[in-house]
Amino acid sequence: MIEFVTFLVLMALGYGFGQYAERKHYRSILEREKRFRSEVLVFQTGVPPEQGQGQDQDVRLVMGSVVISVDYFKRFLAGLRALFGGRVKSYESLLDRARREAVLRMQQEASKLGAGMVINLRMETASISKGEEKTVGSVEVLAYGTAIITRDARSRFEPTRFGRATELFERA
Amino acid sequence: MQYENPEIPEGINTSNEHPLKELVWLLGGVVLVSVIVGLFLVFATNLSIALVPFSYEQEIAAPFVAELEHEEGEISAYLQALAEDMSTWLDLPSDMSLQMHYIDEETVNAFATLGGHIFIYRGLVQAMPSENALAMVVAHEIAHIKQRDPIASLGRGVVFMIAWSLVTGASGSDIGGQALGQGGLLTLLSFSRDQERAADQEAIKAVEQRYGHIAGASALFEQLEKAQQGSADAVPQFFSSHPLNEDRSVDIEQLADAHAWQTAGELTPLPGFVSRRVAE
Amino acid sequence: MLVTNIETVPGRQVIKHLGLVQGSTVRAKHIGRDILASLKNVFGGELKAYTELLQESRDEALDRLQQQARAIGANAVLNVRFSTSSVAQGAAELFAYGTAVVLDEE
Repeated sequence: MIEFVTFLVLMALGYGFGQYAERKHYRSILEREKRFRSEVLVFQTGVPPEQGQGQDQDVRLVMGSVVISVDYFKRFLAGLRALFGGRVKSYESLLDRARREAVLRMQQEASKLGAGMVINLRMETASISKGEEKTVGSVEVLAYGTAIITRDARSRFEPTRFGRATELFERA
Repeated sequence: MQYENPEIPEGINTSNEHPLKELVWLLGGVVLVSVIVGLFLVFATNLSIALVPFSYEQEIAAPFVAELEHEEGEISAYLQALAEDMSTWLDLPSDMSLQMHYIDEETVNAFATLGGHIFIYRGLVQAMPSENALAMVVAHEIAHIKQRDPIASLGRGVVFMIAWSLVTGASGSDIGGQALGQGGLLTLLSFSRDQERAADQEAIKAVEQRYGHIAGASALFEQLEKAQQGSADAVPQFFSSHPLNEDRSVDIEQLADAHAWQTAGELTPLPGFVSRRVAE
Repeated sequence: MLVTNIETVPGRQVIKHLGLVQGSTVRAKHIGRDILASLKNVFGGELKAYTELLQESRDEALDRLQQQARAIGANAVLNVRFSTSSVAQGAAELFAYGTAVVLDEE
């Protein structure tokens, strides 16, 4: 009986907070996407623009990563869905949010470097706790690519948390 | 060549369906599937129970019967004799044996369990106005054993334990032991209404054949109800899973009409020593 | 819709780069198939149910990728990459991403 009450409370908490967090996150994603859409263009192909390898441009590795966890309610829903099969909708939005957040963080990184474009974007998804008993499923998404920085923008260059990596990259 | 990042519309990689709606659908599906699987399991268990030998029943019942406190004495001997008598009228198969146990407690109850063991409480004997009524109770319990209701109930319990442990992923070891262990023999009291009705009919038939009329036996349920109301602390176990007492009386009346049984006749009183002992 | 995993299409010019498009889906097979698959683990051999599951998911991810590309007016997706991860037990997560472009007419 106590177990059932605990379950109901967790479900209610998971639903309430989970829905609130998701809506808030999506609002923030949409707002930032609007800002970066024109500021840092993102392409997944590796061919730089025609003037790409010109003298006045520089390249840097940029990345963005995020770890997001699914709430109790959605995890329960996914568990039920696994019995019947089909689309696990509750995890789809989780991954969508994680990917968009990772790309946004990468864009932010590129924007700090003064880049106007990121090319050759790659994404990695890892699940930190694979649906084990009593753990909440969470995913890590890493987005990385090459930022193309025009020379005159380099004056705006600030050291980033990837400072060492970019130095190595520079030497190479 | 142009470069731009147009806005991509929402809702392609995610769906807008309300999560609560999905939850309701999925839970509904789970309930439906469980009901279907449950009904199937009950059906399959009932079919396969006939294959379990009665001696196996006696084997698993032995340790639990030893645990239950009961008296061996003249009342037990009297009940045993009554049961042996009734069993001949009930055509109990020869490989089944009966063992009556008398429990010196207030509870107005009697129950049959695995291995042909029947337990009768003092409270119940006290409430019996005649031997005819007591014979009806005893015959009812013997009918359960003849129908193999206790082992069917245990079988269902075990099957559901296994199903439950499959679903929840609990450890599958010693499931049968757990089913027996939780509440011991008392868990086996839950017979279905159909089983109770069948036992009633067999019992009243046997009483009619034994005494030549059904007086005393047909009024049994009303008397039991009275006795139950008298002792407030007693848990009404005898009634818990049984059909409503009124329905049972009506069923018996209909049966009596159909067979043109005598509803009136001379009642056999309980032996004097029994009445005295239970009244103490 | 032209979908390739190379960066250029022979004989055709990219007029416009429209950026990243992605398609993803998470799918599960019903529990009966999961149980059969775990039995198959004993004997080895192809897990048809899961091959099917992953193929369906991949198709759906590609379909969603193309939906995104169509929505922004592209006529091709170049350099498509797939990635698979397991988010929950028995569920497959399929992700496809590429660059949406407008190619000139042949």
